[in-house]
Amino acid sequence: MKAYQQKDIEHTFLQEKAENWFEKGLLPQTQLDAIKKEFPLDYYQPNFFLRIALFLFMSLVCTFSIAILWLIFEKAIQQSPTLTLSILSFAFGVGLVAVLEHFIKYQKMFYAGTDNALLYYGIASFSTAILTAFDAQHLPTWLALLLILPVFLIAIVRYADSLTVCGTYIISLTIVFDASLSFSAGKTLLPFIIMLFSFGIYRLSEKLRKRKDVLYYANVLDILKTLSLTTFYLGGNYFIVREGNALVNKIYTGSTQIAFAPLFYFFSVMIPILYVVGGLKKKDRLLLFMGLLCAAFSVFTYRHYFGFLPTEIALIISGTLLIVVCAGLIYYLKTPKFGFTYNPESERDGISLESILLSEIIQTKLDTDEKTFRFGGGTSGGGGAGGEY
Amino acid sequence: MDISDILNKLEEKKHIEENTKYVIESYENTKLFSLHYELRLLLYLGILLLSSGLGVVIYQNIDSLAHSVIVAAISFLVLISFTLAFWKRSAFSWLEVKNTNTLSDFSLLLACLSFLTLEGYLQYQYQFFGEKYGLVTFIPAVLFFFCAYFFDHRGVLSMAITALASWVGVSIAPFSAFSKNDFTTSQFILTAIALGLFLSAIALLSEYKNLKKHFAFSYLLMGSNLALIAALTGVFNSTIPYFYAFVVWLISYGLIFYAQKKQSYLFFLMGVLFAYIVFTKVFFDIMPMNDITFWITAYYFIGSGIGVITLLTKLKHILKIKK
Repeated sequence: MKAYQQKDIEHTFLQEKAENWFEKGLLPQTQLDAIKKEFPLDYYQPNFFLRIALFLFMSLVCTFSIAILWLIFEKAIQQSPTLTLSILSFAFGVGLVAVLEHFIKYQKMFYAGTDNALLYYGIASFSTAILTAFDAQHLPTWLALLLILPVFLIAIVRYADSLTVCGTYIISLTIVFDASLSFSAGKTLLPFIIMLFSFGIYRLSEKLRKRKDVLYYANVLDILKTLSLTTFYLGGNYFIVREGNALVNKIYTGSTQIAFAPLFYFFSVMIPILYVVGGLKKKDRLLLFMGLLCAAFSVFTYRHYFGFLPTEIALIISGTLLIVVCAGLIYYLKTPKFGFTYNPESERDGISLESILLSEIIQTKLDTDEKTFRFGGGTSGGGGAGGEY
Repeated sequence: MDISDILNKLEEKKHIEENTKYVIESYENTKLFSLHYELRLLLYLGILLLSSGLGVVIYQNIDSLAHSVIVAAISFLVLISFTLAFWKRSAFSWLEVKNTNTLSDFSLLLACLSFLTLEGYLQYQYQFFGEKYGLVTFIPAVLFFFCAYFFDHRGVLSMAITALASWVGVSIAPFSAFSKNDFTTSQFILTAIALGLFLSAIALLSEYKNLKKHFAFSYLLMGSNLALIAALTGVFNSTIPYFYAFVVWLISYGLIFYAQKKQSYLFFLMGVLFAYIVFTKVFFDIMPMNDITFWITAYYFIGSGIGVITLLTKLKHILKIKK
């Protein structure tokens, strides 16, 4: 079911954690090396620039392969365009996936740029095949998109690719959007339908997190969570709903007041607060960050309709307020409170208070069994636990 | 698989003892939630909002504020930040200075940026340098080079190189190299190539003589980038494209050779990309146009694309990187 090796992903995660513990002085160098040897990273994933170059060149190859196919079957395409095109795209898709599988299995490509390009071209080919096959039926948008959705879903399950998830989410949202616009009550209820859909996806992503093989899909679930949180907020945001409503009803000069306006005021205010509080409570960085972004957008929304201060004054006041609050919090959290701290999590430069404290704790715990442990034996000394232990 | 799974696995394979496992587990459970980047981001946002608000207010009231007040304010800022940078500086060394003071770094950057503002303002409002436009870029170039070496600051070094290049007559910043310069006259192209090669030579020299060795990367990146882009422009619109094609290949070869020595992915990639673009251009210039041109084009891109991909995936062996 999965194209990439589950063990590759687990080893990556394991090595990351081990590095982190080594940095904090919880693991000595010798053990880190032994762990790296025992759980090797046996795949090909070059650095970022190379991945981009590989992606571009693979796309070049795919594009001109399409050109060759076009040249070969030029006559057939002219005679019966839809049939030839859909058969050709399907065959091309099969070929691409075969190459992709070969690359992953024998060349050990691991999101290396080449495999990404092949996957995207493959998905595009299969989608084209399906869409051209049903071209004559003149299907409504939502139904056409619903037909290609399985291609995307299969791709996600097998390859767990980040960009594919984004594409899938956008397609599903478009389906929901287009389907609700096709009946009259749907227009009014659209914001609620989108919020409900987002909430459903969010719950689903949280539920899937409990699976045993969750690491394989970690990025997929993170993206689903981010996107669903975003659309949940935007679905309830007063600005989006009001302007969107105007667009849907083809009012282009000045939007008008919408139904359930107080409810959307409430959503615009409460959702960011909910995210921030939830993020702090669950110690969920993503939720917290989304909350801050949404809060900024809510401020914009408020100013857009009810702003009475001139922009520069608003800028000065909000800037000063932010600086004062942040500086205060930074000062307040210099010493950890309620499990929060201002000190950065990984201290590569300078000595962290945290790790000194930790090595202190470790030392007291080590008194019983000192011979088997040698902490801080490493030369790179990332964690501030010096060579004293 | 989560933390406890990992720990159990490690224990099972005898990589850690039960005691270590306990310590790591308690560390992971009591780990503090760091708000470092969130708070910093908000702080910067606050500074951004406040300064743009103040900027607008100053702009609106520019008539009632005397120019001398503004000049005095900016000069004061320059002075303060230079003083701060100097006060918190680390001792000078020809080697890389580790753990430079963050405050010193930032105030130096602020000082250099506001120095540019001050200079621009003086020239705009008072024609301070008169017709001697060269001085406007030459003074910051000298100052920035001095600061970059004295304070060991790579950001300021990049600014210094950019100022030097504008003094020579071209703008060097990687992305504006294409848009802002008029490369059509061969004089400009040749100057840019010469400057690029000169900067690359400094890179090699500083590495060879071990004088601020870590600056070599910035010099070489900006220098070779400038020379290559200039020569590439020559290939596309000049009367002697093959000469410039040869120049590109020569520089690319140099970069690839250097990359092999230093095991650098980036310079290898740069060399390959520029050489490939010029090769493609020359190939299509030479190829006659007829009815099989389409086929040749398609096969050329497929074949060369696969070739480059193979080359890049074998890079580890080519550069002899062990890990």
